[in-house]
Amino acid sequence: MMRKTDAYGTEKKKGAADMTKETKAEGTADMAEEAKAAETVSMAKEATAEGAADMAKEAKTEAANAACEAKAGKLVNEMRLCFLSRGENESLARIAVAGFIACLDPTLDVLDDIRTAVSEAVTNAIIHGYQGKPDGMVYLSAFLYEKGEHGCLLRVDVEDTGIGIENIDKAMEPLYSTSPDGERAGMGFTFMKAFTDHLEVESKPRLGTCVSMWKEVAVPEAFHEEE
Amino acid sequence: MGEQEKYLWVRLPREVDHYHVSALGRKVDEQLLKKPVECLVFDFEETVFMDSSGIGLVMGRYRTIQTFGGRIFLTHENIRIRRLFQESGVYAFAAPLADTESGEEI
Repeated sequence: MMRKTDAYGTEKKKGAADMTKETKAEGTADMAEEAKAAETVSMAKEATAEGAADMAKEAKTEAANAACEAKAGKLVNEMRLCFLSRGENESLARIAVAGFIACLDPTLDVLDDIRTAVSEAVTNAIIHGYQGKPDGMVYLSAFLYEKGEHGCLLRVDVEDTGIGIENIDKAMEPLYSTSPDGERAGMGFTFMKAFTDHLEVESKPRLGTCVSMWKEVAVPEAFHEEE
Repeated sequence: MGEQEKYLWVRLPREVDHYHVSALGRKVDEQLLKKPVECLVFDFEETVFMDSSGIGLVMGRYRTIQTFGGRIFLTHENIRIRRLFQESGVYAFAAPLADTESGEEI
Protein backbone atom coordinates (compact mmCIF):
# COMPACT_ATOMS: atom_id res chain seq x y z
CA MET A 1 0.00 0.00 0.00
CA MET A 2 1.65 3.15 -1.20
CA ARG A 3 0.11 5.58 1.22
CA LYS A 4 1.33 3.58 4.19
CA THR A 5 4.90 3.44 2.89
CA ASP A 6 4.75 7.18 2.35
CA ALA A 7 3.60 7.89 5.86
CA TYR A 8 6.26 5.67 7.37
CA GLY A 9 8.94 6.95 5.03
CA THR A 10 8.40 10.56 6.03
CA GLU A 11 8.45 9.70 9.69
CA LYS A 12 11.62 7.65 9.35
CA LYS A 13 13.46 10.40 7.51
CA LYS A 14 12.51 12.89 10.15
CA GLY A 15 13.68 10.55 12.90
CA ALA A 16 16.96 9.89 11.16
CA ALA A 17 17.62 13.60 10.70
CA ASP A 18 16.97 14.23 14.38
CA MET A 19 19.32 11.50 15.41
CA THR A 20 22.06 12.73 13.13
CA LYS A 21 21.69 16.19 14.56
CA GLU A 22 21.92 14.91 18.11
CA THR A 23 24.93 12.78 17.39
CA LYS A 24 26.69 15.69 15.73
CA ALA A 25 26.03 17.90 18.68
CA GLU A 26 27.63 15.30 20.92
CA GLY A 27 30.97 15.48 19.23
CA THR A 28 33.17 13.92 16.56
CA ALA A 29 32.21 13.89 12.94
CA ASP A 30 33.34 10.27 12.69
CA MET A 31 30.80 9.16 15.19
CA ALA A 32 28.13 11.05 13.33
CA GLU A 33 29.16 9.35 10.09
CA GLU A 34 29.07 5.95 11.74
CA ALA A 35 25.73 6.59 13.26
CA LYS A 36 24.46 7.80 9.91
CA ALA A 37 25.69 4.68 8.16
CA ALA A 38 24.21 2.39 10.81
CA GLU A 39 20.96 4.28 10.63
CA THR A 40 20.85 3.98 6.86
CA VAL A 41 21.42 0.23 7.04
CA SER A 42 18.76 -0.30 9.67
CA MET A 43 16.42 1.98 7.74
CA ALA A 44 16.94 0.00 4.58
CA LYS A 45 16.32 -3.24 6.46
CA GLU A 46 13.17 -1.95 8.02
CA ALA A 47 11.99 -0.51 4.74
CA THR A 48 12.40 -3.88 3.05
CA ALA A 49 10.58 -5.70 5.81
CA GLU A 50 7.83 -3.14 5.73
CA GLY A 51 7.68 -3.20 1.95
CA ALA A 52 7.27 -6.96 2.02
CA ALA A 53 4.58 -6.73 4.67
CA ASP A 54 2.82 -4.07 2.63
CA MET A 55 3.04 -6.13 -0.49
CA ALA A 56 1.69 -9.18 1.31
CA LYS A 57 -1.12 -7.06 2.66
CA GLU A 58 -1.85 -5.57 -0.74
CA ALA A 59 -2.00 -9.06 -2.23
CA LYS A 60 -4.31 -10.10 0.56
CA THR A 61 -6.58 -7.11 -0.01
CA GLU A 62 -6.66 -7.91 -3.70
CA ALA A 63 -7.46 -11.53 -2.92
CA ALA A 64 -10.23 -10.38 -0.60
CA ASN A 65 -11.50 -8.09 -3.33
CA ALA A 66 -11.46 -10.90 -5.86
CA ALA A 67 -13.19 -13.29 -3.45
CA CYS A 68 -15.78 -10.68 -2.68
CA GLU A 69 -16.34 -9.93 -6.35
CA ALA A 70 -16.75 -13.60 -7.15
CA LYS A 71 -19.32 -13.85 -4.39
CA ALA A 72 -21.02 -10.56 -4.97
CA GLY A 73 -20.46 -9.56 -8.53
CA LYS A 74 -18.91 -6.59 -10.26
CA LEU A 75 -17.39 -3.69 -8.38
CA VAL A 76 -19.57 -0.73 -9.31
CA ASN A 77 -18.27 2.08 -7.14
CA GLU A 78 -15.37 2.86 -4.87
CA MET A 79 -14.45 5.61 -2.44
CA ARG A 80 -11.30 6.36 -0.46
CA LEU A 81 -10.94 8.91 2.27
CA CYS A 82 -8.23 9.58 4.79
CA PHE A 83 -8.46 11.90 7.75
CA LEU A 84 -6.68 12.68 11.00
CA SER A 85 -7.57 10.71 14.11
CA ARG A 86 -9.61 13.55 15.55
CA GLY A 87 -12.93 12.92 17.25
CA GLU A 88 -14.85 15.32 15.03
CA ASN A 89 -14.00 13.11 12.06
CA GLU A 90 -16.23 10.37 13.46
CA SER A 91 -19.22 12.20 12.03
CA LEU A 92 -17.34 12.93 8.81
CA ALA A 93 -16.85 9.19 8.31
CA ARG A 94 -20.53 8.47 8.94
CA ILE A 95 -21.67 11.17 6.55
CA ALA A 96 -19.21 10.05 3.87
CA VAL A 97 -20.38 6.44 3.89
CA ALA A 98 -24.04 7.44 4.11
CA GLY A 99 -23.48 9.74 1.14
CA PHE A 100 -21.67 7.02 -0.76
CA ILE A 101 -24.74 4.75 -0.67
CA ALA A 102 -27.35 7.51 -0.88
CA CYS A 103 -27.88 6.80 -4.59
CA LEU A 104 -29.22 3.36 -3.65
CA ASP A 105 -31.96 4.95 -1.58
CA PRO A 106 -31.43 2.56 1.35
CA THR A 107 -33.99 2.16 4.11
CA LEU A 108 -33.46 4.20 7.25
CA ASP A 109 -32.78 0.98 9.18
CA VAL A 110 -29.98 -0.06 6.86
CA LEU A 111 -28.56 3.45 6.86
CA ASP A 112 -28.57 3.55 10.67
CA ASP A 113 -26.91 0.14 10.88
CA ILE A 114 -24.13 1.28 8.58
CA ARG A 115 -23.70 4.62 10.34
CA THR A 116 -23.42 2.90 13.72
CA ALA A 117 -20.95 0.28 12.48
CA VAL A 118 -18.75 2.90 10.78
CA SER A 119 -18.86 5.07 13.89
CA GLU A 120 -17.68 2.17 16.07
CA ALA A 121 -14.85 1.27 13.72
CA VAL A 122 -13.60 4.84 13.40
CA THR A 123 -13.89 5.47 17.14
CA ASN A 124 -11.83 2.33 17.77
CA ALA A 125 -9.16 3.49 15.33
CA ILE A 126 -8.97 6.89 17.03
CA ILE A 127 -9.12 5.99 20.70
CA HIS A 128 -7.56 2.53 20.67
CA GLY A 129 -5.42 2.41 17.51
CA TYR A 130 -3.98 5.89 18.02
CA GLN A 131 -4.77 6.03 21.75
CA GLY A 132 -6.55 9.33 21.37
CA LYS A 133 -3.59 11.07 19.74
CA PRO A 134 -4.95 13.38 17.02
CA ASP A 135 -2.04 13.07 14.56
CA GLY A 136 -2.66 9.57 13.22
CA MET A 137 -4.23 8.91 9.86
CA VAL A 138 -7.42 6.90 9.50
CA TYR A 139 -8.10 5.34 6.10
CA LEU A 140 -11.71 4.77 5.15
CA SER A 141 -12.56 2.91 1.97
CA ALA A 142 -15.94 1.88 0.68
CA PHE A 143 -16.73 -0.49 -2.18
CA LEU A 144 -20.04 -1.26 -3.79
CA TYR A 145 -20.54 -4.59 -5.56
CA GLU A 146 -23.45 -5.80 -7.61
CA LYS A 147 -25.42 -8.51 -5.92
CA GLY A 148 -28.21 -10.36 -7.66
CA GLU A 149 -30.73 -8.35 -9.59
CA HIS A 150 -31.98 -6.06 -6.88
CA GLY A 151 -29.16 -5.71 -4.47
CA CYS A 152 -25.78 -4.31 -3.78
CA LEU A 153 -23.12 -5.37 -1.38
CA LEU A 154 -21.31 -2.63 0.49
CA ARG A 155 -17.89 -3.18 1.93
CA VAL A 156 -16.36 -0.62 4.27
CA ASP A 157 -12.73 -0.83 5.38
CA VAL A 158 -11.46 1.23 8.28
CA GLU A 159 -7.73 1.09 8.67
CA ASP A 160 -5.20 2.61 11.02
CA THR A 161 -1.46 2.32 11.49
CA GLY A 162 -1.71 2.54 15.26
CA ILE A 163 -0.76 0.16 18.06
CA GLY A 164 -2.75 -2.80 16.78
CA ILE A 165 -4.60 -5.41 18.80
CA GLU A 166 -2.73 -8.06 20.79
CA ASN A 167 -5.63 -10.45 21.08
CA ILE A 168 -8.42 -10.00 18.56
CA ASP A 169 -10.68 -12.68 20.07
CA LYS A 170 -10.47 -11.00 23.44
CA ALA A 171 -11.09 -7.56 21.92
CA MET A 172 -14.23 -8.84 20.25
CA GLU A 173 -15.79 -10.08 23.47
CA PRO A 174 -18.77 -8.00 24.56
CA LEU A 175 -18.01 -5.59 27.42
CA TYR A 176 -14.26 -6.00 27.01
CA SER A 177 -12.49 -2.67 26.88
CA THR A 178 -8.91 -1.54 27.34
CA SER A 179 -10.00 2.07 27.67
CA PRO A 180 -8.48 3.41 30.89
CA ASP A 181 -11.11 6.06 31.66
CA GLY A 182 -13.96 3.53 31.91
CA GLU A 183 -16.08 5.64 29.56
CA ARG A 184 -16.32 2.90 26.99
CA ALA A 185 -18.93 0.19 27.14
CA GLY A 186 -16.76 -2.36 25.35
CA MET A 187 -19.53 -2.84 22.81
CA GLY A 188 -17.71 -1.57 19.71
CA PHE A 189 -17.02 -4.88 17.97
CA THR A 190 -20.31 -6.31 19.24
CA PHE A 191 -22.17 -3.49 17.50
CA MET A 192 -20.09 -3.81 14.34
CA LYS A 193 -20.95 -7.50 14.22
CA ALA A 194 -24.60 -6.95 15.05
CA PHE A 195 -25.19 -4.27 12.43
CA THR A 196 -23.34 -5.74 9.47
CA ASP A 197 -23.64 -9.06 7.64
CA HIS A 198 -19.99 -9.92 7.94
CA LEU A 199 -17.02 -8.56 9.86
CA GLU A 200 -13.33 -9.22 9.45
CA VAL A 201 -10.57 -7.86 11.63
CA GLU A 202 -6.92 -7.97 10.78
CA SER A 203 -4.38 -6.58 13.18
CA LYS A 204 -0.70 -6.68 13.96
CA PRO A 205 0.68 -5.23 17.19
CA ARG A 206 2.52 -1.95 16.47
CA LEU A 207 1.54 -1.99 12.78
CA GLY A 208 -2.15 -1.27 12.88
CA THR A 209 -5.61 -2.65 12.41
CA CYS A 210 -7.92 -3.08 9.47
CA VAL A 211 -11.62 -3.72 9.99
CA SER A 212 -13.70 -4.82 6.99
CA MET A 213 -17.47 -4.81 7.18
CA TRP A 214 -19.93 -6.13 4.61
CA LYS A 215 -23.54 -5.16 4.39
CA GLU A 216 -26.18 -5.99 1.84
CA VAL A 217 -28.17 -3.02 0.63
CA ALA A 218 -31.35 -3.84 -1.24
CA VAL A 219 -32.10 -1.60 -4.17
CA PRO A 220 -35.79 -0.68 -4.37
CA GLU A 221 -37.68 -1.75 -7.49
CA ALA A 222 -38.45 1.83 -8.38
CA PHE A 223 -34.76 2.51 -8.67
CA HIS A 224 -34.47 -0.02 -11.50
CA GLU A 225 -37.60 1.14 -13.28
CA GLU A 226 -36.28 4.68 -13.40
CA GLU A 227 -33.14 3.43 -15.05
CA MET B 1 -28.01 20.63 31.75
CA GLY B 2 -30.78 21.82 34.03
CA GLU B 3 -30.75 21.06 37.71
CA GLN B 4 -33.75 20.60 40.03
CA GLU B 5 -33.93 19.62 43.65
CA LYS B 6 -34.43 15.91 43.34
CA TYR B 7 -32.98 15.21 39.99
CA LEU B 8 -30.43 16.06 37.40
CA TRP B 9 -31.79 16.35 33.88
CA VAL B 10 -29.25 15.78 31.12
CA ARG B 11 -30.16 16.73 27.56
CA LEU B 12 -28.13 14.63 25.13
CA PRO B 13 -26.73 16.18 21.94
CA ARG B 14 -27.99 15.47 18.42
CA GLU B 15 -25.25 12.96 17.81
CA VAL B 16 -24.23 10.77 20.71
CA ASP B 17 -20.79 9.51 19.68
CA HIS B 18 -17.48 9.35 21.50
CA TYR B 19 -16.49 12.85 20.43
CA HIS B 20 -19.70 14.49 21.57
CA VAL B 21 -20.18 12.79 24.93
CA SER B 22 -16.75 12.05 26.43
CA ALA B 23 -16.63 15.43 28.16
CA LEU B 24 -20.31 15.26 29.08
CA GLY B 25 -19.76 12.10 31.16
CA ARG B 26 -17.10 13.79 33.26
CA LYS B 27 -19.26 16.87 33.67
CA VAL B 28 -22.21 14.83 34.94
CA ASP B 29 -19.94 12.94 37.34
CA GLU B 30 -18.59 16.19 38.75
CA GLN B 31 -22.10 17.48 39.24
CA LEU B 32 -23.26 14.26 40.89
CA LEU B 33 -20.34 14.16 43.29
CA LYS B 34 -20.84 17.81 44.18
CA LYS B 35 -24.56 17.43 44.72
CA PRO B 36 -25.94 13.87 44.83
CA VAL B 37 -29.43 13.50 43.36
CA GLU B 38 -32.13 10.87 43.68
CA CYS B 39 -32.73 10.63 39.96
CA LEU B 40 -30.52 11.17 36.98
CA VAL B 41 -32.47 11.57 33.75
CA PHE B 42 -30.97 11.25 30.29
CA ASP B 43 -33.18 12.99 27.74
CA PHE B 44 -32.73 11.86 24.12
CA GLU B 45 -35.30 14.21 22.63
CA GLU B 46 -32.83 15.90 20.30
CA THR B 47 -30.77 12.80 19.59
CA VAL B 48 -30.92 11.37 16.08
CA PHE B 49 -27.80 9.22 16.20
CA MET B 50 -26.23 7.09 18.90
CA ASP B 51 -23.48 4.49 18.90
CA SER B 52 -22.01 2.46 21.77
CA SER B 53 -20.66 5.61 23.45
CA GLY B 54 -24.24 6.22 24.61
CA ILE B 55 -24.17 2.84 26.35
CA GLY B 56 -20.80 3.69 27.89
CA LEU B 57 -22.12 7.04 29.06
CA VAL B 58 -25.10 5.51 30.87
CA MET B 59 -23.07 2.61 32.28
CA GLY B 60 -20.37 4.93 33.55
CA ARG B 61 -22.89 7.19 35.30
CA TYR B 62 -24.56 4.14 36.82
CA ARG B 63 -21.27 3.32 38.49
CA THR B 64 -21.10 6.85 39.90
CA ILE B 65 -24.69 7.06 41.07
CA GLN B 66 -24.53 3.64 42.71
CA THR B 67 -22.12 5.04 45.28
CA PHE B 68 -24.97 7.00 46.87
CA GLY B 69 -27.95 4.95 45.73
CA GLY B 70 -29.52 7.17 43.07
CA ARG B 71 -31.47 5.92 40.06
CA ILE B 72 -31.14 6.46 36.32
CA PHE B 73 -34.00 7.14 33.91
CA LEU B 74 -34.03 7.39 30.14
CA THR B 75 -36.55 9.41 28.19
CA HIS B 76 -37.54 10.41 24.65
CA GLU B 77 -35.31 7.76 23.12
CA ASN B 78 -36.35 6.91 19.55
CA ILE B 79 -36.98 3.33 18.38
CA ARG B 80 -33.44 2.93 17.16
CA ILE B 81 -31.89 4.09 20.43
CA ARG B 82 -34.33 1.95 22.42
CA ARG B 83 -33.20 -1.07 20.42
CA LEU B 84 -29.56 -0.36 21.23
CA PHE B 85 -30.36 -0.04 24.94
CA GLN B 86 -32.41 -3.22 24.87
CA GLU B 87 -29.74 -5.23 23.12
CA SER B 88 -27.00 -4.12 25.44
CA GLY B 89 -29.03 -4.71 28.59
CA VAL B 90 -29.04 -1.09 29.76
CA TYR B 91 -32.69 -1.25 30.84
CA ALA B 92 -31.63 -3.61 33.63
CA PHE B 93 -30.27 -0.63 35.55
CA ALA B 94 -31.81 2.38 33.83
CA ALA B 95 -35.60 2.56 33.57
CA PRO B 96 -37.49 4.25 30.75
CA LEU B 97 -39.41 7.28 31.91
CA ALA B 98 -42.90 7.57 30.45
CA ASP B 99 -43.22 10.65 28.27
CA THR B 100 -46.32 11.83 30.11
CA GLU B 101 -44.63 11.78 33.50
CA SER B 102 -43.32 15.14 34.53
CA GLY B 103 -40.19 15.64 36.53
CA GLU B 104 -42.11 16.38 39.73
CA GLU B 105 -43.81 13.01 39.69
CA ILE B 106 -40.66 10.94 39.74
